Parts: sequence; structure tokens; C-alpha cells
Amino acid sequence: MIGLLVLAATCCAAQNPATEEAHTKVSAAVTEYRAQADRVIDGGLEYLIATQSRNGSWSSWQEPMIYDRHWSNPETHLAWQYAVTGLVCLSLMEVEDHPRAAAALNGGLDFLTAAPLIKRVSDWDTDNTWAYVYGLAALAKAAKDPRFNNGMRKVAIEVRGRKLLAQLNSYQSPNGGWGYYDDEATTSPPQWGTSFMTGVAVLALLDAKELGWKMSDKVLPAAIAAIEHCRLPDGSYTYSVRPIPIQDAGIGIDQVRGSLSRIQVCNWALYQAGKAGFETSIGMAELRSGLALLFQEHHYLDIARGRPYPHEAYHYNSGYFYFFGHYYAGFALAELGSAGAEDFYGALQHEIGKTQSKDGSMIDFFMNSYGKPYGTAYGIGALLEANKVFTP
Amino acid sequence: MRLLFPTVLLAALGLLAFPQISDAAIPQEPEVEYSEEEYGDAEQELADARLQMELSHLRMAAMLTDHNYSMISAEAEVSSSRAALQAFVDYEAELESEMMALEIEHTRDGVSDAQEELAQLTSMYERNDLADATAQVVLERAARSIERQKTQLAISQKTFQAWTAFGKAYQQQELGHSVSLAQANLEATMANQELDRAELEAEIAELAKTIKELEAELSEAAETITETEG
Repeated sequence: MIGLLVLAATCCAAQNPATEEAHTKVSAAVTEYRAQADRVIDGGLEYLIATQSRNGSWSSWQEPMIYDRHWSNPETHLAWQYAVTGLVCLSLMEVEDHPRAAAALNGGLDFLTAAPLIKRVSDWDTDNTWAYVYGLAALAKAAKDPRFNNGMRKVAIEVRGRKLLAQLNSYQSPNGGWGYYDDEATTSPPQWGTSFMTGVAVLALLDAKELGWKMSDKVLPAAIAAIEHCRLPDGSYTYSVRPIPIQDAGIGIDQVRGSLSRIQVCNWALYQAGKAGFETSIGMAELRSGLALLFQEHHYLDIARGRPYPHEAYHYNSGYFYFFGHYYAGFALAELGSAGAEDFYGALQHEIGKTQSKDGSMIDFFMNSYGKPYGTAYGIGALLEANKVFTP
Repeated sequence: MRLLFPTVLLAALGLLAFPQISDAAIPQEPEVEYSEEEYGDAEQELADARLQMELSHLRMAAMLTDHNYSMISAEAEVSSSRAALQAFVDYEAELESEMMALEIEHTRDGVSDAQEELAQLTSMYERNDLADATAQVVLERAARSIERQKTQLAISQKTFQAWTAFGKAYQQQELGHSVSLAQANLEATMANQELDRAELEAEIAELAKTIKELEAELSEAAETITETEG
């Protein structure tokens, strides 16, 4: 890989010595960043492998933090546990030649296929949708993975995957999006939709569609239209799918500074939808500008990370925005190609690597025992994706 | 009877002594001759007086209704203020004291909760590598919360002490004043109503008298006009 970069730099040098010097320096930096990223990934993997539960899942209602009491109920925790396990599996599927990680992945997939169905949590709490989107994302990806294309596990993955697809579709709001609360009307399907959860759902649905899993022809177009509807002129996305999307002024959340993570998942979902044949407004240039915004305004996520109350930081950023946004930034970055990715790779590696604890975990929000596994899975997942662009 | 006899006797003697005095010599009111125009004015005057009488009766009816309402209000105010005072003496003062004591317990718990929160937050940040600045912001915020809770506790205790020493007696005194004022208001209302009614009754009586006089005058005028025409 380094050889290719050096070769590319050498080719350019014939035309512009200054460019050659700069490119060689960047490439050397990438080499160093890549080594650091690999160490972060290794540490994160060790943490995830060490903390997997006996039943194959990750995280639970145990270890409640100070603000975790009061509102959640057992089904909420089952939904979160299922979602976190799906997310960890998504990242572990990107790991190759690592027997212990593979074993952990098998255990995780077995949990996802065998766990009881997650039901609506309560009248107003529909956090079960997190289980559906990340469960479907993981199983659809596994269904496309050659390592799981035979035997009982293949059957189990497809059966549960199709079930999750049906559950997810039944929770699509009339506005085309998905949300995780229904406290205004308590209806079925719920009324609320968010841009970012819809982004996660679209990515999973595109995989399911590719697999030929049955879904209504209306689901994906409506979801894609919902995300497009949320896109604002400054490149950000509104938090909720609103009838009239308005860009916030001042301290509001619906602007770039409050949308840094939503930009990444929504851009990536629309870009992937475009590649799948849907008409969207996001191309390579928008992926790049979205990444640029993330790192230009990154301090807003830094300030929010670790804050104990949701949305307590400037522009209503929450601690849990941090790794969510970086995860999808890793996908967008890899799509830019090696030359384009160089501009952001070092920053991505730094912003993720700096958060790693000695035990290999990463955390952005205190939330029972879910914070570290999901943070770590997002963190190493972002780096695993970003590394692909520099992998021969 | 002893006085009546001499009086009648003297009168009879008088008639005997001055038999030439005729009815014409007795002073009488001069006869007034009314013109058609003057008769019309008198008629109008009588109509105005009758209208005024009608209005006075309506005012009387409205005033009596208003008096009834005022009396009910004033009596209710007296009753309510007496009940409020009684309730305060019977149980409200004691209940207020107990609520204040509970408030002190709440705020004391608030201090404990805030201290516990700080300890747990400290533990959370020690166990996880997070930005020092964030930890500092959150921990200092929790420490400030403890100070606020302590201030709240001090205020609650001070409020309770002040209530026990001064506030209770003051409130009871205020309630007593309310009873006295309500009673005085009732009495003043009654007096004013009596005065209003008497004034209006006098006005009506005066009007009745005026009407009677005007009717008589008009009747006489009518006779005069008839004779003149005859």
C-alpha cells in the first residue's frame, strides 16, 4: 500500500516537485496514522472479546449509572442489548484473520438469531426500533458474507433477518422515517421520524433489498425522500422529519454545529441509495464537504462527549452523537479513494484514538453497561472501514 | 266635655252678637280662572310627576335587589372569615408547621442526593478516560449543586423558625382582623341600606302628595273652564 502511494507520488513529481514533496509527507503521515489505527482496533477488539456475555450478547441493564434510573423498563433494555450486539457484529464482520474475533462474531450472530423477538417497549417508548435497525443491518450484512452462506446459521440469519425487516417496516412513520419515541400520539405506526435513524434504516434496507428479502416497494422510496426532505441548504439535516424543515439560527440543533453526526449517516445513506439506483442529491462532493464540516466543527462533539445529560452541550449536542457520527464518517471517507481520504484519515484516527481507555474501550455517554460496547464498536468500525481505502 | 260646652256656648253668643256677617265676609281664596294653555301645562306637570313616581318605584325595586345581594355577600364574608380563623386555630397552623418540617427533610435529602451524585460522577469519570475538561465541568457543576442544596436547606430551616416565632401569631392576627372587618362591613351595609330605603320612601311619599295636589288642581281648573264657556 505504501509502495503504491510512493509510486503515485513519484508520478506526480515529474509534473510538480512541490506536489511530490507534499504527497510524500502525507503518505508518510498516513502510514503512521494507519499503524496507530491498527493499535486502536486491536485494543478495541480485545475489549469487545473480553466483555461478551455468555449468551453471545454485549452489554445489559447492569451497572446502571446515575441518570439511568426512572424511565426505562425491561423491554427497553432488551432492545438496547439487541441493538448493541448487532452493532458489535457489524464491526466484527470487518475483521479478518482473527480467530477469537470470529468466535465472538459467531456468538453474537447466534444471539441475534435466537433471542426473543423485541416488542414495542411501551405506549410512548419505541426504542425497540433501535433493535430492528441494527439487528437487520447486522443480519443482512451477515447474509451477504460468504462465511455464513451455508448451514443452520445461514437459515437462522435469513429467517430472523426477514422477521426484523417486517418489524422495522411496520414502524415506518407516515412521514417515511423512523423514530424511537411516540409520545405525541401513541399510534401504530408511530408518528415521529428522525433523519439519522432513517439513515441507519435505509442502509439496512438497501442490503435487504439486494438480498431479495420481501418488502413493500414504497418503503425505501419514502424513507429516502424523508432524509432528502431533512437536508438543509447548509449541508446539515434536521433532527426530526418535519413538514417544513427550517434551518435553526443561534443555539438551535438544526444547523451544521448540531448536525455533525447526522450529516455523516444521512449523506452516506443517500449516497448508497444513489448507487442502488435511487435518485438522490448526494454525490462524492457532498460526502467530502460533509466530512470537512465534521472536522472543522469537531470541537462541538468534543465538548458534548461524556456529558451525562442528553442534549446538554452547545447546539443540543449529546454525548452519544460522538461515535455514531464518526462511524459513518469512516464509510464516507473510504469512498473518497486514497487521495481524497488522506485529507481526513489522520483526523478520524486521532479523534477516535484519543478516546480509547487502557482497557481498549471507548465511551461517549454513560448508559448502563451499553456505553462502552457501542462506543468501542462504532470506534473500531469507523477505523476498519477507513482502513480499507489504504488496503491494497 | 267640660271644655267643649263653653266653646260651643261662646260661638253661639258670637253669632247672636254679629248676625250681619255673611259668608262673603269670611276670607276665602281668590277664584282662579284658567286658560286653555295653563290647563295644558298643568296636565303636563301631572304626567311628569306620575312618570317620576314610576321611576322611583323601579329604583326602589332595584335597590332592594341590590341590598339583598350585598347582605348575602357581607354575611358570607363574616361566616367565611370566622371559618378561616377557626380552621387556622383548629388544624391549619399545625399542618403548616408539619409541612415546613417535611420541606426541611426534603432539602436535607437534597443535600445528601447532591453529595451522592458528585461521588458517583467522580467515580464514573475516574473509571473512564474522558476529556479532563468535561469531567471538570460536570464535577464542578455537581459541587455547585451541593452548595445550592445547602442554601435551600438553610432557607427552609430559617422559614420554619420564623414561622414558629412570628409568622403563626401574625397570620392568626390577620385572620382575626378579617373577621372584625367583615363584621363591621356587615353592619355598615345594613345601616346604609336602611338609609337608602328611607330616603327613597320619603321621595315616593312626596311624589304621591304632589300628584294628589296636581290632580285636585287640574280638576278644579277643568270646572272653571267649563263654567266660563257656559
